[in-house]
Amino acid sequence: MPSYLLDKSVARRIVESLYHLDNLSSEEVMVLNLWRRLQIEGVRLFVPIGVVNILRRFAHLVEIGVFLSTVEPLRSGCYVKRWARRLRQHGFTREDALVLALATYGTDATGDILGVDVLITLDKPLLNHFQVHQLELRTRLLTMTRQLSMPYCRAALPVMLHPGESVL
Amino acid sequence: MTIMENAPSRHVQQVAELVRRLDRDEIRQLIWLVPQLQAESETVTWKQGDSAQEVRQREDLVRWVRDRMAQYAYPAHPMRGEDAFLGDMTVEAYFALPEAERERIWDELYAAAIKTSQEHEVKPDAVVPAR
Repeated sequence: MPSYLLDKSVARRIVESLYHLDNLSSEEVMVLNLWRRLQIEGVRLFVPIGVVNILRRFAHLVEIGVFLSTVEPLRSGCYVKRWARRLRQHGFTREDALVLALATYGTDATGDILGVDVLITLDKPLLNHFQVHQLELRTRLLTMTRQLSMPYCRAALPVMLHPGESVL
Repeated sequence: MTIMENAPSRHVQQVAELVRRLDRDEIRQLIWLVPQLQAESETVTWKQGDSAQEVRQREDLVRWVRDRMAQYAYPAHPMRGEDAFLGDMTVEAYFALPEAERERIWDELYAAAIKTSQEHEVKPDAVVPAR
């Protein structure tokens, strides 16, 4: 079963759109469509654990509770910080490096996965930067993973997509 | 926007009255003389069709979301304006903010939320995406 990570920008868009379903922007329709498709397909849907920590105290609100019921928190696995530091050397901002590192070395609540298949973001500069530097990032990750034990030596870069792109 | 959102001008109505009197061959001749008529007609038809489809898809999507929310368990309740929400604000105050300000609040909360995040061990036989 493929796994997807919605970054904080996508998570915010979905949550906000649930409050005004009668007045959705085209971007909100796009992210809600994505959210629906991923649920119908039954994929594992993650958000960074930071998003869950922000929203958890508002879970008594239906809009927040429903969203949280459809996602799992993705926690930092070992080497997230190290990989994020290396990503910063390739021109990623601190937050972008962290979310990409999380998509590479993140894990679920039981430590049964390492990384996700797809990272979804609305952040076009991040998408562009990733596309441009993807090859060198793969090489850099390979160099890093060679020195690591199982399962960290098998870490792989995610596919990064905009919600408007075909994801399934 | 659909073509009939604004009432046709008197001038357009007069032209339309003339066109209605034309037979099929004369209409073809008119289109030959004014090819914009056909091009514009195709554009308008496409836009109207697309718009209607978009509306249906949007309604379908909203219905699906509302169904999901209706199934969400008591004692949760739908957001109300006076409910406490992000950034120590009420729901009403939060959604009254411009997009850029909501994004700033969200980013600040997120930065604080990940500041102290710990790294966790992953099982040696963990599932790794196949790439």
